[in-house]
Amino acid sequence: MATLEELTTEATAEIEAAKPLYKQVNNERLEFSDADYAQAVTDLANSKWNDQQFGYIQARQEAYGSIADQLDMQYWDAVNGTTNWKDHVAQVKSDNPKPA
Amino acid sequence: MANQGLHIIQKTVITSNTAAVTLTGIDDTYDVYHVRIVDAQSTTTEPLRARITKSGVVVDSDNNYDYAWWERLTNRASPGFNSFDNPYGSANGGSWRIQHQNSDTQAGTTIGINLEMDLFNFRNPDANTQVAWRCIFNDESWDGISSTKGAGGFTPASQSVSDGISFFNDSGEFTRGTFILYGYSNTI
Repeated sequence: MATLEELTTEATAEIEAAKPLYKQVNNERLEFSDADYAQAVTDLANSKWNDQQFGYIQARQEAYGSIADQLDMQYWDAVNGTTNWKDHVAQVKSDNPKPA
Repeated sequence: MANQGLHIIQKTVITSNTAAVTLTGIDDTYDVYHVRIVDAQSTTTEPLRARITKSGVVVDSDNNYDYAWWERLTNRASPGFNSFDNPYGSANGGSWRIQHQNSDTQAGTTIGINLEMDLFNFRNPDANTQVAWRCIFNDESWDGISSTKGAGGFTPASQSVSDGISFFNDSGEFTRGTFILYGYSNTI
């Protein structure tokens, strides 16, 4: 698990490689200032940090069945004595682990 | 006093790769300000974000930006889900996030981001600066149409007015799109 400092180093290298970057201010095209480049590094590092620390949340949201499907699983589990719903939830969690 | 009705204050058209788009000129001329983004596409699937400007300078202040949004996914069995994000104390809190990660705005796809955003209280130093938006885009993770309706607030660290708004992605550059700032007058 990378630290924010390590991710900042990665981001710095990526922004350096991407130079020159431009902004459009009221349709005037300008190269980034030093402050803009510093901001871009911060933003990219924070984005990497968010992906690393919180990406599992979205991944789980995408992997879970719909509420209707999960309720259907629970009904048939109750009828048949199966564990399909619990297995489904456990599989999603194990496939998309929360960072330590 | 401004003329009645709707007026275009700034219009920016992306003709080559651009990492950030800033629209300024929000002053006391109009009663309401509004931003429209038409078909914005970028080099990455990272989320679109926005920040205010003060005296033309983009403001990135953690603990000042807060937002929440609700996403609708057209190709999901469930109608969507509420998604709230309180950036206080979290990384990249110094902006409003318009969408979640993996929003597909990449060049070459058939649809970019289309967004409407109302701007409130930009000229009131005693109140939070607020935005409310709705946008539609193609979502990479579900490969379908998604939309978000959201709202954001900015709590100024000290009393001051805002005069513009800046859009960017977490990484990458806009490859095309039109960004327009409007002013509305309530004058009859």
